[in-house]
Amino acid sequence: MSTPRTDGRQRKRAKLNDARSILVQNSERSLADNRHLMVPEFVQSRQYEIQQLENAMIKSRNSSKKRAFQLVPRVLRRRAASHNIKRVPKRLRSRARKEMKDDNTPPKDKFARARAKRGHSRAIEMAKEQAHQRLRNRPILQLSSADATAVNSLARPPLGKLRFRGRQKKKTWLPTHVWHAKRAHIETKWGFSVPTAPTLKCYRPTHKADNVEGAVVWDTSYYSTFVIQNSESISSVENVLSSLTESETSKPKFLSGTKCWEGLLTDPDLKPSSKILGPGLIYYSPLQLAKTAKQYSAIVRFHPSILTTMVPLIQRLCKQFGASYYDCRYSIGSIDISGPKSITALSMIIKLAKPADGDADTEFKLAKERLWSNLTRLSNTASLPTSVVFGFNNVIDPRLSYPPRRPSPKKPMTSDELVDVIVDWNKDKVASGFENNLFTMDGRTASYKNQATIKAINRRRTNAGPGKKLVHNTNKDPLIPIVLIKRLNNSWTLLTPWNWVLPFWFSLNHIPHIKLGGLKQKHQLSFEKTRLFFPDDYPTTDSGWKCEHEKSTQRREQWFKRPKGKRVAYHKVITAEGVGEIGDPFKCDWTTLALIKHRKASALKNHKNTQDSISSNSQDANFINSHLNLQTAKNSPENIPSRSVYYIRKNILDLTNDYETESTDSDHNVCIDTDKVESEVPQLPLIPVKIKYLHRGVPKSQARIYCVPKTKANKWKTLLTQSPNNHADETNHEYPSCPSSDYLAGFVTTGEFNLKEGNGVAVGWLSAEDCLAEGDTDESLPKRISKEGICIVRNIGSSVGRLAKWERIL
Amino acid sequence: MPASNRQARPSTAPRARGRINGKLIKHPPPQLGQRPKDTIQIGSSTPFISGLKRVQKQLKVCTRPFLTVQGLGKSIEKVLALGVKLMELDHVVEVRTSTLRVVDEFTEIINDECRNDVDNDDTEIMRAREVSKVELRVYV
Repeated sequence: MSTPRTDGRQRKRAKLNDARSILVQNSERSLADNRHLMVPEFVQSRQYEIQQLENAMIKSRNSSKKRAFQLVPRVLRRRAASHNIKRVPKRLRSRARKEMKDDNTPPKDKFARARAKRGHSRAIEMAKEQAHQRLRNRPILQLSSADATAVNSLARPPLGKLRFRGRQKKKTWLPTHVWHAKRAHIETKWGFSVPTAPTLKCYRPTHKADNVEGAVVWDTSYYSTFVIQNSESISSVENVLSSLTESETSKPKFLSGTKCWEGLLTDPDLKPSSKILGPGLIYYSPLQLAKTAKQYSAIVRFHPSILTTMVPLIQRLCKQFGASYYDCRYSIGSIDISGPKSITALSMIIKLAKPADGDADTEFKLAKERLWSNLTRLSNTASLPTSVVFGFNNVIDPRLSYPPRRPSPKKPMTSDELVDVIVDWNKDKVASGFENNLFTMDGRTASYKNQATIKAINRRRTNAGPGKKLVHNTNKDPLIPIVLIKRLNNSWTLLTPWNWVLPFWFSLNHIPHIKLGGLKQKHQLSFEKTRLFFPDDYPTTDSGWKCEHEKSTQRREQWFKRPKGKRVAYHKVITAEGVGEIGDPFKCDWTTLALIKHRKASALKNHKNTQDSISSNSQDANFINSHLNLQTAKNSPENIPSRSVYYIRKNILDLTNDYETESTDSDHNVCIDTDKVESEVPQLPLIPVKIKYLHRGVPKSQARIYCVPKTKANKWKTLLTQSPNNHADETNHEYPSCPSSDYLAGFVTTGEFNLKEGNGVAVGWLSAEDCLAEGDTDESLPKRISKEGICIVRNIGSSVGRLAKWERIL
Repeated sequence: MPASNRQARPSTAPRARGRINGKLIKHPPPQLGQRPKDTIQIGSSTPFISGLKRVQKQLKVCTRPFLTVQGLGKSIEKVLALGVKLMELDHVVEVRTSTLRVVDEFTEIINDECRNDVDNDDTEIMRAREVSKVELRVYV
């Protein structure tokens, strides 16, 4: 230390003393005559004191922050700021430098980055890089952006720089990976490094950005994008895509490129009960008005977890119908944005160049641009028609107009005028677009021609002089093709060539009130809107099943890591059967549910033979015994209407046996031995539901859902009339106990306190048998599934069942 | 109720409106910019007491002479009830009425009865609808 220790202490004491002493004014002029209080003078005299108090509060707060980097707001804090002054904002750098010098922190800023190589060593490095890039048959020295599309085969991931080669061997980086690596937690999923959540805590800010002010952005380039193309007729493309969507995409509004289809992709080879693969998006390239289109093509986008199923399917269908497919997984990137500021933010980064003269569609293109510019100030996406699409070929490099500014239309529209615009949306065919260059390899490659590096842009800015805007050079600067899609959840998806994602991303993240999101935030927001999130909330699909298995393995591992005394003793939970959680406590145990339903049905058939199947296991015996008192269940799966019911795939149920045998722990006692899942377990018909608690409590994931037993229906229904404030409590003796596993009807896949509804809310799946509408007397007719009803939800590890209302979704 | 400063609007005479058999998607009125903080929107699912508390809290920090509470269609009754309650609590409340336009989107249309008055052959129809709006001005 440069100064003696005592000096430092004294200085610190003096500093704290100074910070914590508040100056006061003792003389009181307003009490001059010692009898009457002169109010105006009194208030004025306190003003000084209050000011001093406020100053003292600020001073005292700051005095405990010792270092410069601690003064920075949370969003601006960087990991290396304590030893690297370049990680501190410029205004604090001199102070940080002094502090580091005072306490002998070794200055790391000089060593933070490897020194740029020069001369001979630089030549060697470049030669190495070129050799590396040559692995992909790319021309030497073309280290800039290139289109990585494969025709009628699967594309190889971009190689990345030699320096980062080792890190991308088993996964691909998103275009914004390095940006995300500094700000978010990243996990390897579906062959990509996917950001899961920002490092900053952001549960409430995300909710606020999506609902009140601001917007949330995601880099969703990990989504799989394919282009289906045919140069002669649209029917071959149409046939391929209608096979995947049960002919839903054959409607003219989709074929014309006016609207984008969004829904569940299906496997045409499978039975209707198990054909759902996962959510997808299909957008046909709009045909040119002049009808000179050379190619008919459509974009198919789907979740990367269903890639292994989709690729053989696409290959087969394309062969069958004579279409060709382009794998654009690494050549079309995307950004999702959601929230009230989303349209404004997008209009700040999407600047359009004037269409070239002599273009046949100039008028038409201008009309489309006018439509887009009218929406600049719109803050609710929901007011626009569903699934509308904007496509532009003439977007200027967003870095030229940095910092992003809001365009100011000459005459801002009123809300009423905007209604007219929306009503006339389809009328002048402005809604449909023109052929988009994003669909073709040539179009994307053309957009990379003369793509400026950051260095070149900065040089141009320097040459332009301070305060001068950079101008788009029509002869030289490239134009970017984009497609902007309004999604069903009122967010926007921006599709752009892979190597243009990063420039858009940089500009977007410099707009105030724009928050970063990861997978968790996507899940959170879709939960707040009580929508199912893929794959977590789709147990009826392979991906959902796998996801649940992975998550349950993780939960189990974490549970075992805790000391015995501190983990929830699932084997001691008191349930209606006795002691022990129903099924596997770490997951939504659909196998157990299927088994219960199956045994329920067979118990009816072999009412007297049930005794044979009683095993020596006492709990199992309890379980079977309880079936002897079964109320008559008349609804065999055959009686359930097939439409709007989803089935867990049969082969998945078989798979569980393999999963289960892996874990041989006996600590948590599983009520039903899953080894005994007979091969003839019937398919489990399920419907997705939204659940809302009627009283207190919050449902959690994997909570068990029960239907209300008829014998105790009156007791539960009296609770319906109680107000939410009248806390129905388990300590209250009149609160009915949770039903037995006979009444198990489903599981909660995602449950939490919903900030939007201010209540405990969940999404989950219910067995369709338990949702049949009451009142249908004719048993020969297929029964209807009711839209809503009441149920009882019990969190795992708890014995209290809460009354809740369910409502069908999807 | 001061109606004098209501501006004359372009003709809002209802067009011939046939019934359209299809799926109706109701869209909210377009909102431009951010809603000012001294305007409180009461929706059909806003609980009465929550609305009241929101107004009372906002009144304490409001810098303008009055606070605006507004509601459309179904929630008009609730807004007026809120106004009466605020009057009982000795606030000066002024009530204004107006009309807003919203967009209805019809998809999956089955019958072609009213397709003649809409001059496009698309399978979707966009139609404007008028909704009543009530606005309370609660003076600070």
